[in-house]
Amino acid sequence: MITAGIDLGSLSTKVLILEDDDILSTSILTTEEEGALVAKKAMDEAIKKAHISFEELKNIVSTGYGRRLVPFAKESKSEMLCHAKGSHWLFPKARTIIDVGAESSKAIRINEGGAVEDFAGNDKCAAGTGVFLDTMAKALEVPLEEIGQLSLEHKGKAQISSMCAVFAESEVVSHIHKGIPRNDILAGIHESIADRIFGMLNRIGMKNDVVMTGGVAKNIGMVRALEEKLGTKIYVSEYPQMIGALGAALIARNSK
Amino acid sequence: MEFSFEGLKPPSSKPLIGMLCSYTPEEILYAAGLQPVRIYGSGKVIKRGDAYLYSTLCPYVRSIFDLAFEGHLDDFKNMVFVNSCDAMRRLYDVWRHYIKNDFIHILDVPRTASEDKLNYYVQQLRDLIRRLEEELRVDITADSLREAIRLVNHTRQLFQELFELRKKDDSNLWGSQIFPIMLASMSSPKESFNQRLEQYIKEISRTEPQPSETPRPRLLVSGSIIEQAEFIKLLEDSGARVVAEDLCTGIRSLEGMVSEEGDPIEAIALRYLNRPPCSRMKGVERRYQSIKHIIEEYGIHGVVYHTIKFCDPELMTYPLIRKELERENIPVLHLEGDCTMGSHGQFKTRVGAFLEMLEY
Repeated sequence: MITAGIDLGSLSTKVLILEDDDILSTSILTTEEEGALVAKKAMDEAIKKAHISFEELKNIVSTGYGRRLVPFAKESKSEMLCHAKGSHWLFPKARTIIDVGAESSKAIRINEGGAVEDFAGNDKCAAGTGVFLDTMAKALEVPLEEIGQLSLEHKGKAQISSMCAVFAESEVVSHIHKGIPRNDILAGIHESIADRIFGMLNRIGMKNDVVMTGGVAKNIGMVRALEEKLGTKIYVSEYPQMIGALGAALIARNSK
Repeated sequence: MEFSFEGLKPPSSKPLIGMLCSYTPEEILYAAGLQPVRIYGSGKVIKRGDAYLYSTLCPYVRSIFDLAFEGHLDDFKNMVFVNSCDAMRRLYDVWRHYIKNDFIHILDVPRTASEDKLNYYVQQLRDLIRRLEEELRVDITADSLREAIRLVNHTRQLFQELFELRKKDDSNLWGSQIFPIMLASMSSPKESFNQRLEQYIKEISRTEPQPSETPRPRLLVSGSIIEQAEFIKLLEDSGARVVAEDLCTGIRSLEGMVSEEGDPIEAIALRYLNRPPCSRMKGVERRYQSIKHIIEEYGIHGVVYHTIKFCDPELMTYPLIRKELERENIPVLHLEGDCTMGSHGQFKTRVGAFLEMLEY
């Protein structure tokens, strides 16, 4: 049975096509136009890659902040549930999930069966999210893809004390002016995000194993900073930004 | 079945008196021949008010001051404040200084119902009556108080009938329908409001409960003040049915009758100090017991705990209530609002995830 999951996020739209236990194809597009249009484009691309026709999809479930904008989805489910299902399928021992996307970060606690027990999320605030890292990378004139690795090569850690992304940026600028090495500034930035996530995890109660999902999980510096803060290993799949879409496809498969 | 809000405006024949807290004894204001009206915030971004009050103060209080400062509350020549919380006292402070009123009073409501406090509160009520009589040249008699008590009790008794209907499993009453009626009950003349509510209850009791569509989780909304029915609608649009509101604009302020026997002032004091408490009252145990009672009576599957930013009493109570609810395996979702609809987008995602977690 072939099903699809679509995750319409604030920055990118992800589609994953699943046949039983095999992932046939994935696609990812920047959400830069109307939600319904991007959804269709991403879906067309995934179908093409999987060499199937749209009619062969038995069920489609949408998730993400724009999940209600997907006209062809039969059902829509919250990000929390989809990240829980996707992570549980990949890592059956997972009990805690940290999802850091472009504009939101969440901590989710699940039980042995993969059901959501509790969750916490960031408020109307960009600190501790992907766009925050993007802004900081721009301020430091470093490509976003390199900041994680660079942060690992630090000697000291610059302190970023502000909780607000806008104020944090001005702190970063004054660190640059003082001549603090950018590796140290980056290490400080990653640590400040880890602190925020740590606070969220404390609210729900962290249990091992811990899985990290969302695009920010591709940043090795972020994963290491969190591992250090939490004192535990963090599991990351090879395509962390697809986990929401994977969860949605799994829900689509199981609901029929 | 629609409740008709049309024409529920206060009569021009009676002077208006504004109130901001559900601990304001409406009976005394009615007995004085005044028209008490509960004032709600604008739900909009605060403009000039922020120059006079800290931006880290309760947004409800700031919104009220903004309305007054912009001249939207000029019809209220008279105001009664309550020392509900620190933010409300600060509102009274700036109000006294910047807003012109014929009559302005702050009532000291104790935080427990012990005998000493009760005697003290009776004294406070007598002071309020004396000031109203002297400054507004009205007569408040035992008879006019008794009449006012019967009037306000009638509203409470009608709501009790409505609540009984909501408790039923097959009730198809929506919170988003009922909540605006509660809001109106506190800001409309009780005489005409009671007639409308009586008529409404008659009509909805007559209609057969239709077989409900897919089952929905039954929610309790708990918190301090919510003035926007849109919030309740958001919960129901996400797939829930809101069946109870433990709010000062909800069932908390509509429960508990004033005794129609004995000294009317003592009877009023007793009811206000013993009604289901809000977080400004002492002892979280009483608050929790009243929440627990609602959970059992209304068959609640989950609780949405709504706090207003910077509301210290409500935020302080939250972890304690949550711990108790967790012990009883009642899931809780905490949402923090700022009296505007700005956060409703974020709420939707969290409410969706919360409803998926519930078993019903």
